[in-house]
Amino acid sequence: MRVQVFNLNHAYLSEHPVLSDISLDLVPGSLNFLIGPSGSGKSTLMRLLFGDEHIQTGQVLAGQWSLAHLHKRDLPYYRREVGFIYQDLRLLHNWTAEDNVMLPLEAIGHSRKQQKQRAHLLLHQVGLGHHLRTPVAQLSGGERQRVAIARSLVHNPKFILADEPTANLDPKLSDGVIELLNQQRQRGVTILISTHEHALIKLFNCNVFEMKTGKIAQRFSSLLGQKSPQNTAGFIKEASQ
Amino acid sequence: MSLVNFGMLRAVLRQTILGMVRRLPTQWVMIASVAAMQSILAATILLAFNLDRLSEQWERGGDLLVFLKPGITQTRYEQLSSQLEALAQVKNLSLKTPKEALKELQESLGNDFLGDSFEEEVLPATIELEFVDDLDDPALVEFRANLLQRPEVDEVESVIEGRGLLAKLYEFRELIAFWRWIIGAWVGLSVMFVFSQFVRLNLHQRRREVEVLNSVGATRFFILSPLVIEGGLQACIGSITALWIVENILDSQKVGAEMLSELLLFSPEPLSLTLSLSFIALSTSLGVVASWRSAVYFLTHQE
Ligand SMILES: Nc1ncnc2c1ncn2[C@@H]1O[C@H](COP(=O)(O)OP(=O)(O)OP(=O)(O)O)[C@@H](O)[C@H]1O
Ligand SMILES: [Mg+2]
Repeated sequence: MRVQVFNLNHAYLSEHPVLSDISLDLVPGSLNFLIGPSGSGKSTLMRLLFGDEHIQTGQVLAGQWSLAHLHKRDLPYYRREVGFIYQDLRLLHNWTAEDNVMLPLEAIGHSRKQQKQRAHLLLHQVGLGHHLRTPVAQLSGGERQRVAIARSLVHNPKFILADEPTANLDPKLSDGVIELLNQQRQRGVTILISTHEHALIKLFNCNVFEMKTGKIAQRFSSLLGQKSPQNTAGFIKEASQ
Repeated sequence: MSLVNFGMLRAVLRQTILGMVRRLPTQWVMIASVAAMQSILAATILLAFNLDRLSEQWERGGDLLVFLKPGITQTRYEQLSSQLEALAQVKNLSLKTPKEALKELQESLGNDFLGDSFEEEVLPATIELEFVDDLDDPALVEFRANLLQRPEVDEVESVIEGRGLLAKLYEFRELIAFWRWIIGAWVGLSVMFVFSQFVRLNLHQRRREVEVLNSVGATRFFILSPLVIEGGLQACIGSITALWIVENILDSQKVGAEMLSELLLFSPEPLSLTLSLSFIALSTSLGVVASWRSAVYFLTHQE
């Protein structure tokens, strides 16, 4: 799914713009990282792309959807094509891992059998095959994060938004999770990940957007860790912080 | 954009059942309170229903009903009848021996109601008098009734004035009919209030679930339907329970009912099937509408 963002502005309170004049073009099958200091507006941008926040000015085109004019009634249908991993995960803690992962398919009306098959496959892929029926409340932070990742992939989304998906994971798991998301590119899935872990960027072919106080301060591509030369200085400075 | 499909309907039903099972104690509390409110209404409807039947039955009776003491010989009956018939303005006189009275009672109540446990002489012999001009003057009827209760006529046990009683019965019936509406409206409003508060609580308990459902592409239909179906089910079960409670109370008063039937030649009956079904249908729709309205309201105002 191609996702284009045109001149997006956003303010929660009218005097305090959180995003100003953001434009992006995410091509199908691309892996994109959103980096930048805390409070720079990464989560806000992602929520706008998911339809969680109303678009104030600007436009977002995602596949066939025009988010600025999206009717509330159609939002669920747009979301069925998108997978979102929230920073706070949004899991149901007294439900089992399996039930949590099955929920997007339940909401679409898939049969129970299909739901289970898909959920089990994904939970195995994130290394939670032994925790299918464990209530999320009894899982560790990293395990919960992997449940959320499995849930965001279960309905084969065409666009994946992940807000700091590796925040609670050790480096090895982190790489594994991003690798899992990265594999989705083969299906033409567009991926946007916000992260503080700049080390990740060196491991993949990806585009990087660095945000500062609501603006895109820098954009560059990283080819298997070899960043395009003109941005090296900026990246190293950022990564070493 | 496809509309409702079967898989979706199945999922909605599954969510309804799961949602109810996850909050089983709340379900019981809810059903019990709905049942309690509904049984007041059901009892009122039952009373009104039986008063209608009673007055209908009494309308068929005469102006004066003379109960005779037991053990009177056949010749004395006949003497009494002719004496009474000689009274001015008697249009019609019918004599009923204890046997006939019992037979009539059994017929009107259905044969198996009393069984064979009754002795033949259990009912008093009666003489029913109907006067020529449809006398509406209660004073005149009372005067005649008093005449019959003079100590000389010592075969007479008691006299019932059909018209006076009927008038009182009508009055009572109208009172109940009036209160039936008041109680109906009151119960209806209370049930709506309870449902709206319940849905509010339910949505509050499930706010996390609703949030998650919203984020995984669930439609409003998918989120609302389980709440609405749940409300309908609770109202339905609640009203069936209410009918059951009222019926059981009626049943437990069987001895009283039998005494009543001896005295009034009338036995109270449970609500007819049509009335019961309408009661259940009405209350179910009330549950559905109330839950739907408040679910829409609270979902919109929560966001
Ligand atoms: N719901 C809200 N209401 C008002 N202000 C908000 C709201 N959400 C975020 N903000 C403000 O918007 C700015 C950007 O927040 P955002 O969550 O997008 O940052 P972020 O880049 O994701 O930070 P982090 O890396 O810490 O997650 C912050 O200054 C924050 O205070
Ligand atoms: Mg954030």
